[in-house]
Amino acid sequence: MKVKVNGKEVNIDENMTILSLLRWKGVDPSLVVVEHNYEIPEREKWGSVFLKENDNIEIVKFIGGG
Amino acid sequence: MGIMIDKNDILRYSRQIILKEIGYEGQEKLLNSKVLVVGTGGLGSPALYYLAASGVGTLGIADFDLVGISNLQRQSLHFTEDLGRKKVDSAGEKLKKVNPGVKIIKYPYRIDADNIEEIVQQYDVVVDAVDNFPARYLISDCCYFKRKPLIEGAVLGFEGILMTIIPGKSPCYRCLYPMPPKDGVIPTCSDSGILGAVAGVIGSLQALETIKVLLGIGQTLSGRILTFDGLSLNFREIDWKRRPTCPLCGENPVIKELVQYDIKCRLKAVD
Repeated sequence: MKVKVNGKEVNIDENMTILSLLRWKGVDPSLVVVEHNYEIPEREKWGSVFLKENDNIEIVKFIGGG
Repeated sequence: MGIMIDKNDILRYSRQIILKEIGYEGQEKLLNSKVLVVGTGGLGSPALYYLAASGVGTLGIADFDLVGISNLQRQSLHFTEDLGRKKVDSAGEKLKKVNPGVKIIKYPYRIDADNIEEIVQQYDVVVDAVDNFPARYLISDCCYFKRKPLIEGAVLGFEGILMTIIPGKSPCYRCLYPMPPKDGVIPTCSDSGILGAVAGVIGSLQALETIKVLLGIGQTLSGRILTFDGLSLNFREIDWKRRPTCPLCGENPVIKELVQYDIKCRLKAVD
């Protein structure tokens, strides 16, 4: 199914959670926050939020340098 | 209103007074504005330069650090001859040369939970240009408690992020990052590197957002997050809502006073 990740359409398997999407993309979950359909779910729930067709996901890195 | 435009300054500011969004009225607002910039490094240097040049009347500059040689590839207010000087002195001197009319107030010590409130409350807008998460949480919490607009910018590697946070109106820093990253996972600029021009992009945008907030013009970034990837040259805008469970501005806040975090970065700093 198709979802949008950081503005780009990607094809992912059914039954993917936010957490498995991050793993699939090779993103370390401790280094990012995730916005799912314009809401920011608690980090603890990432493993139980299943993605649906046309969902919008934004993966935002922790950036703190200056 | 306090300070009026001096006859001699009309020419100095003519290129922005001519902008219909600014005009004489906007210029006088800038001359009577007070902005605090915390950090005079890669972000603070360009932000301060443009704020001073535009005629923001009072600039508070906070930095406890001294100028080091590894700073010079990105921290554009500091020159080779400044090595070893306090950054606030080096930065203050350059800003005075750019615009002698600007009043500079220096805070040459570490901003902490005990001193930040007294400083922040004297300013109209705060620019976060620090290089670490403990200071970012301290500044953002304090700006929320004191109801001060906060222009939040950060960089790492070729990437940057920008947020304009208006307390009570826009989401806050903790709506995005509710709690600091875990100890030992986050790299710093000294570990991971940063290219000066990348900091220049975000620092300049911080100055622009500050001026827009001061003058109430245009559409600020509040409610959106801007991310920048310098390597692919992409700007992205992410719509961003208040988080009902936000520990600071949510329905049941748990952060009710300033918190001094001690977060350790992934590697030891090399400079």
